[in-house]
Amino acid sequence: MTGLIVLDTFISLVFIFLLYSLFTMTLIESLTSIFSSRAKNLMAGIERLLADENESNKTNHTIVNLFWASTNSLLTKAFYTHPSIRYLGPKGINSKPSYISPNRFSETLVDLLQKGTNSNAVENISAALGIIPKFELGELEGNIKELEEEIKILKGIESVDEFEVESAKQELSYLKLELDNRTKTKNPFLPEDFILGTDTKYQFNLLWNEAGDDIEKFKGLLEQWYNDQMDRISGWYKRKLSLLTFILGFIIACSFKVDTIQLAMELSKNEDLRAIYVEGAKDMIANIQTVDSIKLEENRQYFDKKLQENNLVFSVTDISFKDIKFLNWVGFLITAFAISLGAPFWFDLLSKLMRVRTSLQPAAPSSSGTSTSNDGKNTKAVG
Amino acid sequence: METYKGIVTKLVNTRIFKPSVNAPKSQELQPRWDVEISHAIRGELHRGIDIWYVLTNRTFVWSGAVFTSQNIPILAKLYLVTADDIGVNKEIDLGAKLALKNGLINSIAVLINRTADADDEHLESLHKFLNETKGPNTSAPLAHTTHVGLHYTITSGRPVSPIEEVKNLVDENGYFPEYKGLDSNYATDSYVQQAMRELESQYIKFKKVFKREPAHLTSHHDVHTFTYPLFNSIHSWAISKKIPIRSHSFLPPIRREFYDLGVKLNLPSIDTMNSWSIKLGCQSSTDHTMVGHYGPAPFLPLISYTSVVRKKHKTLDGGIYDFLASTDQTREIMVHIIKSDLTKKSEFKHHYKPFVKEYPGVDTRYFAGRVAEYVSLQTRKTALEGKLNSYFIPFDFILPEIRNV
Repeated sequence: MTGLIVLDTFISLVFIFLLYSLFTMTLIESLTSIFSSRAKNLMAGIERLLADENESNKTNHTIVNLFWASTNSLLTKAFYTHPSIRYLGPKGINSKPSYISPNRFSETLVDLLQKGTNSNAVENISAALGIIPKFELGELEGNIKELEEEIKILKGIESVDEFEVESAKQELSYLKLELDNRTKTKNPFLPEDFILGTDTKYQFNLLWNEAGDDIEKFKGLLEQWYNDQMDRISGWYKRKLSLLTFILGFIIACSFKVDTIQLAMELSKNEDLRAIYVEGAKDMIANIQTVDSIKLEENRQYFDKKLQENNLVFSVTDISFKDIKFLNWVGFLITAFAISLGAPFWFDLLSKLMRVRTSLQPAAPSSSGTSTSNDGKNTKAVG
Repeated sequence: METYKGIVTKLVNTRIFKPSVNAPKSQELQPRWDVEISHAIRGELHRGIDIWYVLTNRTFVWSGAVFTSQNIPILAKLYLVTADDIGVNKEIDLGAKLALKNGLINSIAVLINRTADADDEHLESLHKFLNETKGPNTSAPLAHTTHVGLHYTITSGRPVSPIEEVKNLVDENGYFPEYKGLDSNYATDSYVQQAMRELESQYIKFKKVFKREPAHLTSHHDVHTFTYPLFNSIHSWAISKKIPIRSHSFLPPIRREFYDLGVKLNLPSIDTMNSWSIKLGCQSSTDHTMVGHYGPAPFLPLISYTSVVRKKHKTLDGGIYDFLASTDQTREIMVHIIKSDLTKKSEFKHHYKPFVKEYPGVDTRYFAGRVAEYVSLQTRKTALEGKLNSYFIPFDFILPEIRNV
């Protein structure tokens, strides 16, 4: 022992926090993987882009979103129903993709907007954004019926010019072809009466005006808009995870009675306990370069091994549940907060502390006599 | 050809196929890059500017994103879409009438020697139709906007001239031989004189019926290109009458080879004709004639209309892109159309047996191809109509210069 009680106590605490952080991290990774939390967070982000305030689901912006996501926005639903997005994810309950490239996002969105009964993609986008009216197929269908009647009448007239009949038939075939073409381009993903939300429409209009009817440019601007949002979406995810880590950390702290205050007091008094943790910490630092290099399964194995090796149990303090007092709750909260800081943080801190400890450790006493005698063992006697 | 330097001022894409912001992208040009401009054309209106530069690499760039201190010529791009072989068959004429009325074509090449049309009743009715029918999106009659040309023939039907004046050119029944019957005699003075006599007769009849000079001169089976004396005489005649002739430089190579195999003389090559043409100082009706819409050749089977029509659309698109990217200002698209509900070659053969007997020299084996050409134009028009960014930007027909007689 160095005799530096405070440092060793602190090292022991950090080591314990690291072990529990690793444990929590393992749990969180398992949970987020089972629930496809990234995909759900991405959905919340995309919904935020494509839905107005009143359409967006509030729970998507809480910690619940890590386990469940839903949307009321028709455009977001259509976006996720589109084959180019739907088939990005696996088949099953968690079928949403956890990553969508900006290019895929813009292509899909433009495809949703450019479908419609107007005559071309530019007109359909303009109609979707409310710049021009949507084309009503009913009018075209009415014209076709009228013309069919007219042809029937024409055919009934004996002295009719063949050109007149053929001309009407030609017009009819144009109209039918037009109806066929416009029906083909009808949007299969959105209801006919779908109208974009006011705010969403406003935002799209800004981008569309900037693009000046250039679909390629519009796609580029959508990608830029999506990329900006993606930076925020990863921030949301981190915050949701931190909160989840804190909650899980608190549950773990309570369950295993990891009261930082109590633990600190015990460690400061118990030299043997300190020695066990400090040795464990030494061993860990010597064997592991970074905490990231420990994989999920390895985490679990390492944690079990360390507990067994050091003769530790999960419960590091000896508090009876009946006797938990206010100060214990504070201790649990401190532990939960410490766990929420994450294993990488504690690993870095532990590495630094171990370096400090090594630098403070007194040098081993040197013995010149021993050295000489050792040298002598390998020296041939002369004379 | 002179080129012009330009500097890119805004991040902009170069486009292929058409001068439109939604045409396929070719390359992204960064600000301050140098570009080499060939010429300017009118294209899609974008941010109040409809001028597009055609770069020397044959791509289009919106002029609002390129600065140049030079005056770049804005070239007009005008089309002549000519339907050949009009005037001798009811369904072919019906196809032409419908195509004119719907703005699919703006030019017809009329065969003037319809059989059993004693008082030119049929041709008169065609003239009447042009005068009385309005074109699309205009109040002017078709007669004002349609190029009506003479489709000279000595290889189909009967002569317009008295038979004794052209007896070398006809068989014992008074019919012109099929193009396969042409031989080296058609390079001799007597044959050429009779051919010119017949040309004069057809020309006079044309003027009598249509009350105007022919807008252009073409010949059935391109017979005017078969021998030097015919080429020379007919071109000289056309120059004297100030009638433009369809350029021989773009004759379909396959058809030419096919004719070469059929006729009993060596057809001159395009290069040879080019040298003759330069000597004569010929005036062509357009800078270029697009012949690719024709086909498949009559001797080849037509299996699927859908695929043939798609191929023709592709040809049209390619031809129009080539035209826009070139410095040509006029281009003719040659078509052969018919309005018929028949589709199979065997049906046409059976149905048109009496017609072939009455008017030999029009190959009914190509009638299925004519239907395909008609459908191609009709569906292309429908597909383009109402589109902001059609391939036909700028799609302007050449207005005819009508010389009434």
